[in-house]
Amino acid sequence: MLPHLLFWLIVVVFVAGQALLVRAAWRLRRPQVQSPDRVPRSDPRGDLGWTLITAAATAVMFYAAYATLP
Amino acid sequence: MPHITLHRLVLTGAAATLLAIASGGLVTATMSGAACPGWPFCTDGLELHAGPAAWIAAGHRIAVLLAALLALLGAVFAWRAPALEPWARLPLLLAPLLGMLQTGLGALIVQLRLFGAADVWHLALALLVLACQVVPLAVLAQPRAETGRLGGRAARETRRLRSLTWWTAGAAGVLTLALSARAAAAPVASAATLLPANTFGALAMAGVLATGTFWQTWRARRGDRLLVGMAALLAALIAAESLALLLPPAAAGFGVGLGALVWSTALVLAVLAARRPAPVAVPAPRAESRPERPSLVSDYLSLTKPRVISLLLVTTLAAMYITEAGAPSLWLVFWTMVGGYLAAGGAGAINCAFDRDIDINMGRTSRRPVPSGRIAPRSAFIFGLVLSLLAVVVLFVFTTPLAALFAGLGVIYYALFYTRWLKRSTWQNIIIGGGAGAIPPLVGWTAVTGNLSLAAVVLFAIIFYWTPPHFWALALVKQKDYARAGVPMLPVVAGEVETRWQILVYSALMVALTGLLTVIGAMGWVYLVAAALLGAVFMRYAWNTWRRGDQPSIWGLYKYSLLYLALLFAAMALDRAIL
Repeated sequence: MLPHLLFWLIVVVFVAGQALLVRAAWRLRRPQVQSPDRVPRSDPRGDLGWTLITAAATAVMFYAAYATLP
Repeated sequence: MPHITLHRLVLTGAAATLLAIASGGLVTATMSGAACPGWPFCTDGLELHAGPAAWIAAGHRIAVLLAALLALLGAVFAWRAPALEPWARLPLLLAPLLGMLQTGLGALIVQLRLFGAADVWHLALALLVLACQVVPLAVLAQPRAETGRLGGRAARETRRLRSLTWWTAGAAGVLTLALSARAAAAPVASAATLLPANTFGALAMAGVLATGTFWQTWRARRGDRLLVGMAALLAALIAAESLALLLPPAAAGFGVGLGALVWSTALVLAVLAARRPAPVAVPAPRAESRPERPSLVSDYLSLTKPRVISLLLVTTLAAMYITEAGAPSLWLVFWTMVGGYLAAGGAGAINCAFDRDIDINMGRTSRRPVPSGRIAPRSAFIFGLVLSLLAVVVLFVFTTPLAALFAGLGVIYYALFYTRWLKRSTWQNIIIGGGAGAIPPLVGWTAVTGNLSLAAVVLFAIIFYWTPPHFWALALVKQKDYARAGVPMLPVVAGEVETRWQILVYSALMVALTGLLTVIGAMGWVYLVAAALLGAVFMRYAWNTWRRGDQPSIWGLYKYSLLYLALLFAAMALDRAIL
């Protein structure tokens, strides 16, 4: 019972946290501050892509953890 | 005058507790506990023609009774002396309570015939009682010295010494518990003790820490003969303890008593290091006023970034002790550490070669050997490459192919993927680059098991999500450096507020992920409680960074994040050792 409870608690934090990070990556498509000229501007699609890949990879790990639950 | 009486009383009490622990070790080693089936007295087993087992068990009970009475008397004295320093008074008041718990557990062991199975808690409580007597003893003997404001170097050295002494004391306690496990006579009983059975590992750890403590005492307090002498005594006692391992398990019960003596000495040293006057200025290694050019050897060593590697090796080491394969051999640990150091050092050296244009523009890194021109980038690159290849060979030959593969991947990930591309192109550099720092536990895990499991992947994920809060805290402090060097760190391209917000989010994700190890059954409740407590403190720092955003909050988070990771992995090893 405790592992299940703990697992779903972690999932809730994970989903909420990743949603906030995806939103932040979407928001950062446009420059937020005036950076010095020598600082390169990253590709917004690439940044969003990294965020989604990280979330997806972590979700796969959660799925594997779910499969081990008694 | 009353303090002299109390001092003698506590000294006698500590000696009695030590005797009780030593006799307890003998009881475990000879399995004599069952010879006295009654409790509290040994009337059933003790008769005129009783065997040695019954006498050993009865002798232990008498020693425990004497120790309990003296602990109680010490508490009465402490109760009647409210002016006593809290560090002396509180432990003395606590001692009989712990003693009662310990005696109660002893009764349960006898009544329920849990000989062996509950020994760990019985001995652990006895060691705590001993600590509650030894610490006040040292506090009473050594009043806290009034030290003026220390210089930067002196303060740093003193902090380092104090920290080392407490770590050594902890290692001495674990060593004593491990010796008790070895003292269990039969393999069945040894398994049932649930103790850290790798006595050699515990001894090696205590030996390394005691040697480090002695070295640090010599560096920081060489004029303090008492402190240097205590540090030398501690190292010598641990060396003597190694001889106990040569004894057969049945005779090794004596080693438990010696282990308790090591524990006491380590505690006294820790108290003395904290209370004896520190020199206002620690003598500098060299007297010349002009800064000397570092030697070529130290320059090459600094290319490997030893400070960064130490934390990576902690995660590697802890991962080795928490696999389902049990405790690894010391040789495997040694070669994995060597391979891990070479891999991380090689990647660091290649990073120094590639990052010379960035490092020269940052105050923190501009004095490194490559940007300051003492080592050519090509030489640094070749040095890094050689170390990396050596790492793969060492791990392949002495551990497992998978560990060698992960070490090689780690080098490529950090030196090429992160350094050459991510770092210079996207604000996600630290997030995705965090994968490089998360590989060491995989190396440690696969070096022991030869395969990868879900628990190892979770360890990877924990460090992956730990990396952004840790490095963004540093980036917030050093953002001007990063802007000057042209590195698109999050604070530079998105501002402080966004960075502080993302630090909070990543911290919450990381803390939540630490619970997953318990969910999948890789860790028990000891780890879960430790992870929750450590995580709560982490979230407090992250929250302060988000809300306040001032330099003390950010520096606090940065420093605590280092400690956090080390303690979290230590908690994993502890959980595995005792559950």
